[in-house]
Amino acid sequence: MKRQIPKQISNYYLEVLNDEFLLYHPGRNQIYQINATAALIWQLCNGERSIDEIDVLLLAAYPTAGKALMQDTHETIQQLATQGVIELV
Amino acid sequence: MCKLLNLCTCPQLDSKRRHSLAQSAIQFTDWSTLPSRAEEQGLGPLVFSYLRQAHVTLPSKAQVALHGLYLRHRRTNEIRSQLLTQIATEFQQQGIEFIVLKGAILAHLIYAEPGLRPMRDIDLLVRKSDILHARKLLIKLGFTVPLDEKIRLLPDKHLEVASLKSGGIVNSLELHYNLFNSYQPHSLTFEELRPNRTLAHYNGTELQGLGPEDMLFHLCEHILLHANVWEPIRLIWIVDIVGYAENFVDRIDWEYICHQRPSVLKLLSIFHAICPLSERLLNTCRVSIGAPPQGIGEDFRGWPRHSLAKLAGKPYQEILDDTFFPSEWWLRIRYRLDGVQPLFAYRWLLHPLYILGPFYLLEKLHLFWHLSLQPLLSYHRINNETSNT
Repeated sequence: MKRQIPKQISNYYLEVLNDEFLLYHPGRNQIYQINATAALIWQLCNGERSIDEIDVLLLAAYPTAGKALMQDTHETIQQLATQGVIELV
Repeated sequence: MCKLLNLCTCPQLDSKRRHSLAQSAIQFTDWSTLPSRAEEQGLGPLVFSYLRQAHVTLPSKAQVALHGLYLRHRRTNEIRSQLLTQIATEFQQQGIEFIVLKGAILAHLIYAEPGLRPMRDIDLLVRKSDILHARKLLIKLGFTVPLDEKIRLLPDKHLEVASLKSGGIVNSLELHYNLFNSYQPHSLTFEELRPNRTLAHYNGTELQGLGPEDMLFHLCEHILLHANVWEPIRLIWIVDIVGYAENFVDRIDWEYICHQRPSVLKLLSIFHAICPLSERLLNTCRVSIGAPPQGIGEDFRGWPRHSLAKLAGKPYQEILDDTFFPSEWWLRIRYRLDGVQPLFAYRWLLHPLYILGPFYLLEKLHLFWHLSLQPLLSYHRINNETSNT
């Protein structure tokens, strides 16, 4: 999984309002309410970084978080892929 | 539910209405269905915006759903408005004059933000002589247009729907050469329009809408067309009409409206009950205001709007009441009565007879002919003529 490259599905947008993060697509009914960490992870899924590279970036930003952060990141990416908001290439 | 949506049926929320909305929300419990009901009425973004203005705290799921509606429609409108500017540029370069109809222009004219007015599709009015050229330009812009280019004859008042996928959504566009469909009693072509277009601007591009009297007439006849026992009236149409009348009260020729387009005044009279007209508008247009009708905002909910199978869970008395004795508010719209005209004959005689007698069947057959059979016959004729040339 770590070498896979997560890529945002086109035409999904992230909206932030009063600490609320919503992912939406103009042509789809489903709205996803996500937390700040998931929003950050989604933004890092630019179709060029592998999951490994995202782990490295996040660990550099949150050095005390450790392995738990990596596990959360992988779970979040998997969840976003299941929801059809990103794809793993 | 009805009261909450009724309170959101207005182009702007004043302080009194904001207070009423906040009070109404305190007693409201059916939050789970509010987003879908609001969306059905075209009010999703407005409900979100107004509840926020009224500082109403919603359950999380309803809040997210309404926020989502607001965001989606805002984005959809941006995509469609951008498309409109591309069409405007192309049409202008080729010398094709066009009018933007309904939601696509109203969103930019009377709403605080364009995204508050959901835009289902784009409707344009052009001259009949320009319609094939306009169609070619749409194809050039990437639209898929179903009719074959060789076809010269047109099946009805307007061509089939053109579509273009852009920004993740399918954008539908209808080219009209008559403001009204063939099954409506009115006809108004580009050449017959009154002057003084209403202008809107988006990203530096000028968009032309109908002149004030034609706009109001078109919007009112559109709602009257849908005020029947099969199709729902959407509350957003009421916001359009009242909002437009309020915004352009000084530009509208109310004498002309009174004598030539009386349906406008009749509807404003009824809509005052759900979206009170300002003193300025009331004094200018001299609408007759009666007592608030029973069942404000209540659409027809009997048979045949809902099938007997769907109505099966309801008590018989309720089904009969809904079918034969719908709300006064709906009856007045349906039968083109203003707020003071007597309703007695319509409520106790004409509407029940309409349901019991052959009249609604004749109306249904009339619509079936115009919407289904006539286009099929026209296509058949067109295809025969094309293959013979």
